[in-house]
Amino acid sequence: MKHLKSNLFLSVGTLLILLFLATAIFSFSVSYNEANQISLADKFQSPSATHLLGTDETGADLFKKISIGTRISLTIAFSVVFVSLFIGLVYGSLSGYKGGKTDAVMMRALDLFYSFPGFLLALALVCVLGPSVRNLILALCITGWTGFARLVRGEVLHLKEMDFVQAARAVGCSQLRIVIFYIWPNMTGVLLVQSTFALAGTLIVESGLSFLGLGAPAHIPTWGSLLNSGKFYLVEAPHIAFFPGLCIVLLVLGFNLLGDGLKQVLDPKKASVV
Amino acid sequence: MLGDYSTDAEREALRVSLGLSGSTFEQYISFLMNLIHLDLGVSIFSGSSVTELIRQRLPATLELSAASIFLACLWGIPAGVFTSGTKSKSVDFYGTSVGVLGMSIPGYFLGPILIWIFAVYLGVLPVGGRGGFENLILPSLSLALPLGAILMRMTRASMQEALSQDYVRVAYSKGITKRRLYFHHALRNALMPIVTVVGLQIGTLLTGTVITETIFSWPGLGTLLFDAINQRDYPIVQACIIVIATIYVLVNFLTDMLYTFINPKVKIS
Repeated sequence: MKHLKSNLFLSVGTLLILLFLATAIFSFSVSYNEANQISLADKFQSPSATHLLGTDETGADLFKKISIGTRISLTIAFSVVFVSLFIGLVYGSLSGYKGGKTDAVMMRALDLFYSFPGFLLALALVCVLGPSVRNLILALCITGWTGFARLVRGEVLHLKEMDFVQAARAVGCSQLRIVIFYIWPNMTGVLLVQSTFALAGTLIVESGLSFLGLGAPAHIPTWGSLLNSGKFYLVEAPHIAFFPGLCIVLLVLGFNLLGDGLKQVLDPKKASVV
Repeated sequence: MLGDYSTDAEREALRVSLGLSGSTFEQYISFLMNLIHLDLGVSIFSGSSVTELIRQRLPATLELSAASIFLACLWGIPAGVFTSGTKSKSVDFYGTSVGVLGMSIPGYFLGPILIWIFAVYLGVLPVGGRGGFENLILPSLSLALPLGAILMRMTRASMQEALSQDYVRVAYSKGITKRRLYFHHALRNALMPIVTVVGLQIGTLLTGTVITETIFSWPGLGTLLFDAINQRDYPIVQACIIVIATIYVLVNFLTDMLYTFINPKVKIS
């Protein structure tokens, strides 16, 4: 049952993510102008054959807008997690492997970031830097790398005492070589699971900021901004708010399911605990 | 702020009145001195005292947060306990699924859905605003459902760990009731991580209220912050962030203190 469940989670999660990846690829065929095409005669149309997900308050096709939103969300989520992972990996490895005073100082510096709720810090940064996709990625990276750094440090502390690392040290491998070729490969599973959950978390924060109007500039449709404008038309056309929201839920769900499934497959012992 | 046709003298006067005349360091020192006296400056737009604005708005946010935490604990912890010790595969499966699904639904989607169901379609609850008890239901629900899902996952994991311990097996073999076994023996030992998560989530909740309050037009810190961001009213933005971050640190500190009560083995050095 346990295996069946993890496989079910894995396959549903992968399927959802692939679905959105395909949508994102489709969106390259839609330009911003095309997606924002105003046609007031067609406004508030329910889903139909011509407009797959209906039209919004300006008469623009909702599916085209949502597909561009998919691309923006995925781009932001993947770049943020990739950069955060890289910074966290280097910072955490240095702190954990060096140990002693270096570790103490680096961890106190990390605590500074932890004394601030992540969403608030990202919000404050975007507010100061001004809303744009680049600034959003920057703000989310600044808040996102700390989790990875902490995880990596813990893993390094644990792994560096293992026999195979001692052996590598005994044959005279350099510190850099030990970290990169002996310690990092043994963390891939944990990092993969964490990255998947981080993708889900980043998506929620990113859409939240877009929802508040602090995401991409207004001419770029994002899930958050579509959901926000849709909430004014809940009476006339609830589908305008419903579809972008559903997309956020499904993609986040996809990543969470994939993470849960991966955790059970890669680390059955830990999976039963958390 | 002065428009295109302002004179140099007017600009200089504005700089002085906004406290921008000194060097950055001088400005920072005067900011810190004012902060010590709980003077957070005046709003650029309305000219009213920011401290006063925050004093007006804070109770609403605290009310919403307290209601949400209460609701989240009310469904999250029992659901976690109930699904932790089950032998039934379907309960286990649905428990996990509800947990993952709840974690994946952000409050800013749940809010509009709840509004649509209860305010538009059924028409039984108000769309927004603050007032009686019925105004509180939808916003606190939209915050409490995702939060409860996280609590449920945590409780479940922590309970499963506790239930696998030897003392639980001993207690069970003594023949005590299942309820006593769960709540008296296992839950008390499983409580530590749950309390940690509740503490950490209060911080997340406070920031989550920024979105939820704007959805439900709840007159709290969140809407104050949101409006201030849109108006570029930086003294208010700054003050709101300081207040929320301070509460966050304070709550985390209190959580640490609470450990010693829950688990006498923990000593705070």
